[in-house]
Amino acid sequence: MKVLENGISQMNDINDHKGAKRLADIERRLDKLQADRELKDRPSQAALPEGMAAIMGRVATELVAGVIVGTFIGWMLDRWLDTSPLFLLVMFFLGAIAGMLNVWRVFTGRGLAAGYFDERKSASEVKSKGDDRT
Amino acid sequence: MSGSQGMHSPVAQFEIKPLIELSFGGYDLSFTNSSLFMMLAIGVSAAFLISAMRGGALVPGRMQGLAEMMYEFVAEMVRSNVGHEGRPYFPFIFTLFVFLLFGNMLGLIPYSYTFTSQIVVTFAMAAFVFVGVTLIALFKHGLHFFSFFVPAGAPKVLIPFLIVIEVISYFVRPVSLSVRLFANMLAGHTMLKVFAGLAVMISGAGGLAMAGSLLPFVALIGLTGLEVLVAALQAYVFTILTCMYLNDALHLH
Repeated sequence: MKVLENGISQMNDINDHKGAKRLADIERRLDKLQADRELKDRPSQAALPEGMAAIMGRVATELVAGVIVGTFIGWMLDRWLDTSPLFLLVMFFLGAIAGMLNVWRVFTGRGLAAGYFDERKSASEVKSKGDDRT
Repeated sequence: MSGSQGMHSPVAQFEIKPLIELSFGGYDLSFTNSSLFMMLAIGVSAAFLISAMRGGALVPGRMQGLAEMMYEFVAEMVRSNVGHEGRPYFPFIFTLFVFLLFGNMLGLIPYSYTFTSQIVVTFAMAAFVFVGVTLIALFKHGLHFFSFFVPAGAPKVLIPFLIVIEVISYFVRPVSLSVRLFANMLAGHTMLKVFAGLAVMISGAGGLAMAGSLLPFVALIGLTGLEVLVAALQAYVFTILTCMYLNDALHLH
């Protein structure tokens, strides 16, 4: 009821000399609502299955896939530059490292996002996400 | 392939059989059992969605409720993982989810074929997602996209090294995406056939052994239930990872 009265009084105010100020106020509040909505609509990290088996499966795939992709890139580079087996060996280990990096991302709640990002920002995002889940 | 031989090979189910031989310019383009089930997945899902939504009732019936549930499930997934900017990609993601879900589910029907158990199929899909997402990121962010691979605040000496690792870890995406789906389907279906074969083999011994065949048979019932879960879950995982990659592409960190 109070809200309704407020609304009516605001509408009446538009007609008098304070109307412009009121309108600006309403506009400001609408902007804020819009901003809040956009904030709420901001993407969160995905809720992947979190059972023990699911995580183990993901760790295994990430590790194996890292080695496979690294070795494959190395093999292709060797064929291209005729440097066998230099890149094959180097990329094998780099691939293994990349796989471990992805596993680290799985466990630190960074999902599968590649690339680095602002640690402080990500930490707060991860934290707020943890709160959502509980 | 005769029953008296006892057990079929549990991997015989994954064999690709050409149904209509076709060859074009030296390429084998035969219409296979795999293609047939892909078309069936499209046909059945389209028929289901169209017939379920034909009524368009305000208060949905069972079928319409199911179709709307699927739609809202994917819409919510896109909204919460990609946000506003993900909207234009919703049709693609919904199609992806429905295609995989129906493919996985149809594969559970006896005598059918599970096309998601083939790495070529899942890798082609994952590669399409990967290339598409990378192109979206390139169009949206231009060369800034490559900053994705440059670690912020790392020692200068290590940067070239770290970039290589980042690039590999980026290229791991389509591989892990496709391997996850294919490996789950392959393992699950092999396990089903192993248990089914065991039940048939034991019962073939006759007499008291018939009772023993109940054990793998009961396990088979449980496993089939588990496989239904895995089929739905893996379609979901593939789709949600696509959403996450799309989110990365649209909002670089």
